[in-house]
Amino acid sequence: MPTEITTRTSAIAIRNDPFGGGLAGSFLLHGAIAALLIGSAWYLNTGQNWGGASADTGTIQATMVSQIPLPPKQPTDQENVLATENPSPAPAPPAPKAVAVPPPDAIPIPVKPTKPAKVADKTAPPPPLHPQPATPQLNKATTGEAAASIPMSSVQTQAGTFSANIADAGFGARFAYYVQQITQKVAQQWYTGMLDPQAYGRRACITFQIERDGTPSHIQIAQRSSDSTLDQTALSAVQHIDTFGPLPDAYTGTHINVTYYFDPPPRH
Amino acid sequence: MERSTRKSRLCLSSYPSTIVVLALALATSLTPLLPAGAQDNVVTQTSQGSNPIIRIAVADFKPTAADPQTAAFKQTFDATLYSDLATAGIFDIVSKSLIPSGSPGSPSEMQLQNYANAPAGATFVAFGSIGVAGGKLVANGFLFDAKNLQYPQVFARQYSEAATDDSARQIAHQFADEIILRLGGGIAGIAETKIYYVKILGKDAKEIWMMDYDGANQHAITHLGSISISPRVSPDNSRLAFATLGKYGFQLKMYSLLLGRYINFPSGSGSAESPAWAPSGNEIAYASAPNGSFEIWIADSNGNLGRRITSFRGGTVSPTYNPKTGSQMAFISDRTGLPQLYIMNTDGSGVQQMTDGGYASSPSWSPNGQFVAFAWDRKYGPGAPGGQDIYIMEVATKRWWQLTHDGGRCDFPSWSPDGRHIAYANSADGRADHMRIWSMLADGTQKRPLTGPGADMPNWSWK
Repeated sequence: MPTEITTRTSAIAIRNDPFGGGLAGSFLLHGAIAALLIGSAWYLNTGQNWGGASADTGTIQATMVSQIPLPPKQPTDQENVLATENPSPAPAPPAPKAVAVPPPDAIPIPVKPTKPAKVADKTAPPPPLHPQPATPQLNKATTGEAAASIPMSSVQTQAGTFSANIADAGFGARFAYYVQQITQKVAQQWYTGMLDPQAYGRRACITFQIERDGTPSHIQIAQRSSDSTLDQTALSAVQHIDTFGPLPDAYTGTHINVTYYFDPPPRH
Repeated sequence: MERSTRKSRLCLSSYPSTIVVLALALATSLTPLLPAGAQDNVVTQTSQGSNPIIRIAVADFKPTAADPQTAAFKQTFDATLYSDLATAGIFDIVSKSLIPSGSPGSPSEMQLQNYANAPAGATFVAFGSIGVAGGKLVANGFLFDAKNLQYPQVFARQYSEAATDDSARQIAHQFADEIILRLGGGIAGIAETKIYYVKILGKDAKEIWMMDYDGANQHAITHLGSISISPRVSPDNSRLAFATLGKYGFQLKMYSLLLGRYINFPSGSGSAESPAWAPSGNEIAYASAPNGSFEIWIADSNGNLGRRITSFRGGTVSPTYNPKTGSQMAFISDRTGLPQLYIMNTDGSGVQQMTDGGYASSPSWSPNGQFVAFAWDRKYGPGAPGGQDIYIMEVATKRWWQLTHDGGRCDFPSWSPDGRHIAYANSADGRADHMRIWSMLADGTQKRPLTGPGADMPNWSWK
């Protein structure tokens, strides 16, 4: 009867345990994997082992020495506090090579001159200027410059033509038209409407130079009139003028000195 | 009347009639032998004003060669010289009928007393000789001071050019300019300047043309077959900026007068019109409307680095630089209703309104910086009296003078480089295609037409 009981028990157990088959399969599978690993290790480990007893090559030979060849220790200098016990292993600098003297008939190899490296100017740029008056355009065409000047006087003789420029005359007599032009130009710029009543009957004197190109310079009050409006209008009359026109061709000087009197007539 | 008298004194730098007490005390009369390079002394004096206008006689030049060409060249030369001096604005020219007979060709043939005496009564005499010699046209020109019998010669010049009719005219211009420079107080003449203008060739064809200052030698520059307007020549006469109608409205174009072809000028977004050169030649101001409203922009002369200067309600157009300083600009703006004249600094600051009524347009600043010329319809509106005329305004005082009267619509004034003349466009019947270019003195006198109908928008070259 026990057999029957056992069978029944196992039947019950099997029937009650749904994982029984899978568990057995798992044991079988793990067992097989373990056997495979051991077997493959056994099978593959057939070479010679490093340092094994059967090895006959790759031995290391060692020799005993009496001392280690370290660099010699330097004697320390007590005076020199900066001296070190461990000086740099750098070698001493080589002695300068003796420059070979070129043979007397040697021709020097030309050397390409090298320009000094350019250095950018680091000075600060000048501050921006206020609006400046533009330089006046020369409102004259450049095509008429080729005209030749004819001498002042010329005399034709059989030997040829003699030319001369007259220089021995006073400017005012020789170039009266130019003096008249100076007078007119300044007078045009003299605003008598700005004069004080007491200015009439007085006299102011302005001196200035006229350069070759006709520009006035060195404008000064040479003689004050004891009336400031007359002095100022007279001065600004000359200062307002940009140019009197070029000095006459035949005039050889570099400039002329002008003395200009302003005489507002006395009022009655 | 009072106004016009003042105007001539202010703008013409002419010679008003007031008495000069001229005391020529000559310090140098004591120093007859001056070394070269020294200077002389001049003593002079004024009590009030200045001398009357210079009276000058122009004798016909004497033909020096029997060459058949000479007669034709001489005729061109005489006519051009007379016209140049007559229109210079600083001379009272002696009528041809009052000049003594005979044409002196050299100082030895000159009977100066005949010119100085009545009826000629000339203060200065221009004379000389002209002829073809060795294939060249050679002219000797003399200017004599008729009041200075001892030392009459002011200057003498010899010209030698190719024997063509153009050269004869060119020599006459050069001789006239020399006389004007010597007697006009150092302001160079304009006989060699040019005028650029718009030639109306049809309803949809306007090209840029150029001519001499007296209307001679008219010829085309552009052949774009479009509408090109607003020519503005650069201060060095090397380039011409103008606006031309393209696919995207008006755009600026640049023509090199030296290379004879168009040069690159980038077109910004939106239309751009009315270029204006800075007197330095480095900048161009123009009116542009990238956002729909015209404002003034300034770019460099290659059209790069454009920057906007103004920002106002309404349109801002027609910039023109102050040629004397380059730091101010006049322009037209309609921010207060009708277009008015304004000035400002070139950085956009200091805006001043110059006119306060009517309809102003086309400003042009005088070379000495003193005046702005512009077209103005002072009583604008239907049925209003008057019309569009040329005015000048003194910038410092805002006083203005009317230069044209009752001659039909006038527009586009442009100053000559000597500041004595103004070119403008005028249409007697108001029709745009009947516009013609006129020239006048800056006081409104001596008006004369330079072209026939179909010429508009003159621009006088800077030199």
